[in-house]
Amino acid sequence: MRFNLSDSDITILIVDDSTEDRATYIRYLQSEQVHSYNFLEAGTLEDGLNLWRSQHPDIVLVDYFLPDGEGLELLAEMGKSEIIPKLAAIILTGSQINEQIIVQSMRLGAADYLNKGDISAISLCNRVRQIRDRLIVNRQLQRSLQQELVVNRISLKIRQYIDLEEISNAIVQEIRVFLNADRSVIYKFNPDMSGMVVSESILPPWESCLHRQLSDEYFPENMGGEYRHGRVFVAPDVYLANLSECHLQMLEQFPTRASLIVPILRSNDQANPLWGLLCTYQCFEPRLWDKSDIRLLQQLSVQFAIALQQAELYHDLQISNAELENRVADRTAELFKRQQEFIALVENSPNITMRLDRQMRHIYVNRVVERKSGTPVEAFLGKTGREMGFPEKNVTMLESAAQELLETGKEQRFEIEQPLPQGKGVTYYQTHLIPEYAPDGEIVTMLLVFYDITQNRLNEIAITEANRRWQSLLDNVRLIVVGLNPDGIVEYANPFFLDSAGYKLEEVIGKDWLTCFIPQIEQEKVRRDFADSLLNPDRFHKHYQNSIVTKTGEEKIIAWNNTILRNQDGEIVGTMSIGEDITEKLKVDRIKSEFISIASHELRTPLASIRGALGLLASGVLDNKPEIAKNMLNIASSDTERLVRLVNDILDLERLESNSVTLNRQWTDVADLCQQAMNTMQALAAESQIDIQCNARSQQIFVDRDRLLQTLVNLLSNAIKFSPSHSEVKITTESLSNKVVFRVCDRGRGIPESNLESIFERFNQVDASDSRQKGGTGLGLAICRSIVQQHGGKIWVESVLTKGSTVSFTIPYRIT
Amino acid sequence: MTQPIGSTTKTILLIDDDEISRWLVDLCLEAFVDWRLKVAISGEDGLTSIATTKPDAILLDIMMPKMDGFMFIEKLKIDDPLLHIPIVALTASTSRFSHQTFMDLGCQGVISKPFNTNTLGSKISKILGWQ
Repeated sequence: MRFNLSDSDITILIVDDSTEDRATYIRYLQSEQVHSYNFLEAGTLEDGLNLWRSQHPDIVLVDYFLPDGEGLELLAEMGKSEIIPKLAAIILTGSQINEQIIVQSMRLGAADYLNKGDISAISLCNRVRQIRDRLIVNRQLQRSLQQELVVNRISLKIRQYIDLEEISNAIVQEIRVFLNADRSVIYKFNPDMSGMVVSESILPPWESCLHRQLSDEYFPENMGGEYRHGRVFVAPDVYLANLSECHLQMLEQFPTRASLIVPILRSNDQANPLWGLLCTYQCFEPRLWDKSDIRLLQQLSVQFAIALQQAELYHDLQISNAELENRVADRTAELFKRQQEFIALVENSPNITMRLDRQMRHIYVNRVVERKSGTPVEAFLGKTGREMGFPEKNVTMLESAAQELLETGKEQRFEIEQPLPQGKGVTYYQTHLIPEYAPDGEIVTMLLVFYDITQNRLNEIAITEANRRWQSLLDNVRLIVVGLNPDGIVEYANPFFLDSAGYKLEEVIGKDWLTCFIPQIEQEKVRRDFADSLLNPDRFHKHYQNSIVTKTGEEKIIAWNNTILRNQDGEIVGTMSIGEDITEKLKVDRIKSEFISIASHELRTPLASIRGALGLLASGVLDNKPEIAKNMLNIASSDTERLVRLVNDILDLERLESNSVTLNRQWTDVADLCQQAMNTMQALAAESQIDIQCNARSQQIFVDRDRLLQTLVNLLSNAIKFSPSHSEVKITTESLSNKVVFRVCDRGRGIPESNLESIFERFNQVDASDSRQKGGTGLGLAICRSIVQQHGGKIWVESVLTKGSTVSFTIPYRIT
Repeated sequence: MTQPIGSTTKTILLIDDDEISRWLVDLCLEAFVDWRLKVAISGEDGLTSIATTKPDAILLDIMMPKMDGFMFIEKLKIDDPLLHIPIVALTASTSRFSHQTFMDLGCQGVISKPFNTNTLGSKISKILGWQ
């Protein structure tokens, strides 16, 4: 069964009981030059109906009067049919026909009527041609309506379905059905121009070629050739289409007799527009393809191309959508995880964390608060700190911070002290108030975090206290403390250094220690040792001695105890040196050692005489020289005396100067004291015929009587020794407001001016030979000075050479 | 002091400010060796005596007023840089100055006071290599 494929292919059924008439009509119609018709003939109504049912003629010429009924019955019967298309009918009537019959026949669907008597070749041809034309126009209209319907259906499908396979299946199905073809396929090219059938609709029993790989050498050679330019391949019979042998062989595989092929072109790929082919085949019969068939295929190819593009877009969209979805999912998961982490973090944080609304009510409080305050979390919620009964000071501080934050939007930090429950001390918190914004930019809530800084604060207090102690130590210690950086610049100097060297702090800090405070002569060595110490901490000079220069230019010898200062990484950041001024100590040491060596010399000299004398006596060399031997004994005896005096004086002086002797003070009369001294020396004075005068006045002083007597006796003894015979030695006293002045005058040889000070030093006689001649030890005046000084007085000598000397000393009334 | 002039007896110049010391040394040397002893009572006296006495050795006290033993040697070096006359220090100051101090100064040796009267002569001989 098939529809007419060509416009001109018209079959006319002639139903007339007159064989002659039928032949006439056929002859008439065959005379038509423009069109040719096929004819079917029937002599009866029944035959006509049978032919109509079996052959589907396009036009019927029916006689009104038939042997087995009226022609109208044929029309009526044909009108009932729904399966077989109606057909254009021309009623042939006799001359006696009335209008009623005509109306009736028209109502039954007749296209026209002809009076048998009037029929001529021209009139018949004209009437049939008119009907034919109308029929063809109508049929074409019908067909293009149907085509449009197919295209619309496919468009709808494309809109409804995104799946390309579904669309292509629908397209091949629609085409095959609509064109009543045996096979309809969509063929897709691979990049190498081989290809595959991706969709197929096939009429049984023909074999399916779905998913078959087809390759035609023709395609790769010219990249699809004319198809690329939209060329349609129409072959009513492939054997007459001038195809290559191998192409034919390929087509025979399916098999193929007639083919209609349109390219599927992608408008969005200029370089390689040919996506595939839309093909329709008749497998066995040749077929003349109608223009409308070609148009349909072309339209569907365009639709398919749209679907392709849509599918590609959709595919891309799907991919990016999937990506987006994945990303959203990932992000959501991450956010969720992050949120969980944050919650865990806040809940497990050591810090109390709260969220407050603008009215300062607690919206959220983490669990830490329970541990810290002993109050459960629930008790906080919905209440303000004031309502919770927190200390007024803290509440006020928080409120003013919150107000500031709400006004300025700035984070607030402050510190509070929160008493612990049951009065167990205080917790110190560093408090941080942070604004939280709504999407519209308004501050809706505030985050309040309390960092427990109690330990820090206690450490801080401890450090401050320790610093204060160190500072106090450094400020008050009677030692020099100097801190230098590795370049030798002073970074610290304690008050004792400033005091003892006479500098102000600003004259010291930031100065180069070596060039500013070390004597030039020592600078090079100290600089070398300092640098060496820093480079080789193993060779660090822990103990060091060098001089420093005070502001007045005085040099002081300092014994240093040095420490290298390091930072936390162990890098050297400087030195800290503690120094003791040993200048005086060294001087005392030197004096002491000098005294010992002089004393030993002074002791050895008489010992040498004693030993020599006794040695000579013992050796017997003087056995025959009694005079010399006696002399020797005298020498030994007198030097022994001298040795005793020396030892006594040395020990006495040592005791006095080491302050191990405490003065035995008692009220003593000055005049008595002088008289007693005079009495003691009277014999010696008389020996040299010297007169001692005394004009001392009676006055009570609180002194060590024996020591003061020793002093006066010593001075008198010296005066007598150095006075010429028949001269006078005088003791005078004078009471001043706060002291008594004693004076001992002689008229002796006097003392050179250069010796006026030094004669009070130990073993510092003006003439060394005096010690033997005058019997002095060289320590007398030193002892006197020591005694006077212990009483808080002063001693000095005034002298004129050859005229005499006056030794004076003072004894203050007030004991200092 | 009893040796005839012109003999090979050694002449010693003693420079000491202490009279007793000078006397003791004189007695010791007279008793135990046959050297001739010349004395000077100070550094200055010693410097002037050298020319007249032409001693074989000088016995020098160190602790003397004005010109002490050290100054004496310095002065002597001005005339006789090589110190041709050997010097032996005789001093009570050995605790103040080390033995080396005297040797560095140019002395041949040091005898500390108080000395052993019996061995003074032999000690000097030993120092000067006269045995």
